[in-house]
Amino acid sequence: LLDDRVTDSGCDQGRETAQRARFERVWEEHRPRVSLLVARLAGDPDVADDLTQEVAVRAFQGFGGFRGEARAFTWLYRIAVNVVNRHRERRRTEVVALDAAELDGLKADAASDPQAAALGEDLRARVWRALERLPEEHRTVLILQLYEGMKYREVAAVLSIPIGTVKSRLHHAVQRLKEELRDAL
Amino acid sequence: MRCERARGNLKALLDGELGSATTWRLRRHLARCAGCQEEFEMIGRLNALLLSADLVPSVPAGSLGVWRDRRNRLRPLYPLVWAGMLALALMVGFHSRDPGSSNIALAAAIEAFAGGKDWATWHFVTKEPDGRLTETWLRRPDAFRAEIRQGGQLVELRVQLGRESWIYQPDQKRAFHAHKPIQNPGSYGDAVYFLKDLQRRASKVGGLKVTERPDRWPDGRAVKVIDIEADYAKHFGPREGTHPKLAHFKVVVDAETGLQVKSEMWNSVTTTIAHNQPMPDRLFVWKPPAGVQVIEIGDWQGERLARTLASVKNEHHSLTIHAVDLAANGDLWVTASWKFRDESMNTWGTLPLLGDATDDRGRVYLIFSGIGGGGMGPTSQIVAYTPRESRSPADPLPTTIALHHYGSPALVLPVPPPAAWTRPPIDPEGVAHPERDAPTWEKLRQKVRSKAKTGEGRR
Repeated sequence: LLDDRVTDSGCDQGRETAQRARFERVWEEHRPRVSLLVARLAGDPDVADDLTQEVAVRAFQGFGGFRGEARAFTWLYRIAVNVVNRHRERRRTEVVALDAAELDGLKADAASDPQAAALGEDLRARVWRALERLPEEHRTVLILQLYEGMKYREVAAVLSIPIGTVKSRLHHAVQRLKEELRDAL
Repeated sequence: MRCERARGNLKALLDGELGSATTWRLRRHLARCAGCQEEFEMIGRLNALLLSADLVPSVPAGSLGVWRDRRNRLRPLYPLVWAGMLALALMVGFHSRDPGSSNIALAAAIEAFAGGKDWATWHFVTKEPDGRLTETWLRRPDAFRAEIRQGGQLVELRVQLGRESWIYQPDQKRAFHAHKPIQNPGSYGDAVYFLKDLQRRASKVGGLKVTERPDRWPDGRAVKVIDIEADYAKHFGPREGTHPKLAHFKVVVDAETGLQVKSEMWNSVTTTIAHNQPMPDRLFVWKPPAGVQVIEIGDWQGERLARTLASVKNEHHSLTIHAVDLAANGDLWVTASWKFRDESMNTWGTLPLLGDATDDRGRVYLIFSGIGGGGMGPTSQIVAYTPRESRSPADPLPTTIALHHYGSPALVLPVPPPAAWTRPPIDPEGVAHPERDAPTWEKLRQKVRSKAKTGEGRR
């Protein structure tokens, strides 16, 4: 799971081994959900594995400081959001948004998915584009709440923002998506 | 609650993130405001669309196990998209002479119309096609409140706690006080009778299609949508004017609790605001304000229904005349009722007659509910027949009265001697009876008149 650079940085071998074992227990418990979250936040399943690995690395680096005041998933989600947002910022300088060709490629990947077939790929691509166009802070809140099934207070804890801000960001995200997808509703 | 504030809270309502008081207020607003309700439903559809367009195409079941166990409230990652659900519509019966599985869906609809089994209180709003809005609170076993509004103005208030009930008509500055329940919260509405009757007829003539399909309500609840289509001609007689070929009724039921979420019948739409919210006694108690005339009714109808002057039966019904009253203006009021011969169909007990009556002098009598409209069922304190054109006290009295009821032979009975008559507490001339003059009754009256002229229907 963790590469050598990380493990070599420790100075006390026994302490490091115990800490690594504890971290692996926490990580293994939450990895599937973190991986899903990363894929959703990134808006690109192809980079999800790499970014999830980056989350693991950063989480392990900070694990010594994690004393369990926050719930583990809140802590891991916070790291995941930061990692993905940094990635999207970097990417935005290269590609402004997912273009139609990329979306066509994703359509082919998802062709065997019966849910996708039920929805209709054109509509699905439109939904993705609409999500991509949301302001980053609105999109992040919506993904955490809607796709991750988090309560508003949990979203607030992950992002370190007030619950009222979660509520207003969701409201604005919904208003914008409603306008963009009105004819499909 | 204002629309602007309501709309800012719709997403949070959908997500179950509002407190109970705000949820209650918002649901109440939604039941009254078509625009906000439409917005709410659109946000629900947007949620379904977003979820079904999830970026992550599949999740190994095992990878979710820990999470599901720990949080125990994981949202379904891949709910069926609402449009897809339509494709899963389950046809449970069609034009069924052997109702079979159709009965299952109908039974669910009947149960839902009766309000389901497991509620202690039920708060809902009914919109009529004429714009009338009735907000109703029911608390089992015997508390009831209804506020009827037209154009935002309260036109009638009905409250009941046990046997103590009031009907207040603000525009008339009048209130009726009765020692009789005006509603039985446990068997609310006439849809149960209606659907059972539909079911009974369909077993002989067919023309009934019932479908049930799963769906998701905008607030995320799983619901069952029961659609009932009845062939108009087979069930309600020859079509006239704008009557559609098929009559549609719809009931939406909470899939988990079986309670009614929404129903649509004859363009009247009932929307549940909440079940099982606390309802204090003060909601069901009323005192007349100063300047309001109070008319004491007692148990006018109950006292009459306990008597029997004459009765007749046919294959389906039994008809009874209970009492004849002489009103102050000289009118004869006839209290009559009918029941199904099959006792299991009498979910409402004794019902006033729906048809018209004529006397041997050619006078047409119309159904008359003396208080508060609603000529059907136990909603009315005084139900009787009153002559369409008032007779003067000097006119000779009729010797017989013929009662006409759908599908039954006319019931012709001698008018009891005046010694048996009683005086009603109110004068029909002084009471507004929307249903007496409603256009829907006019055709029936014409039929009765023409029958009376030709002598048809008398025995």
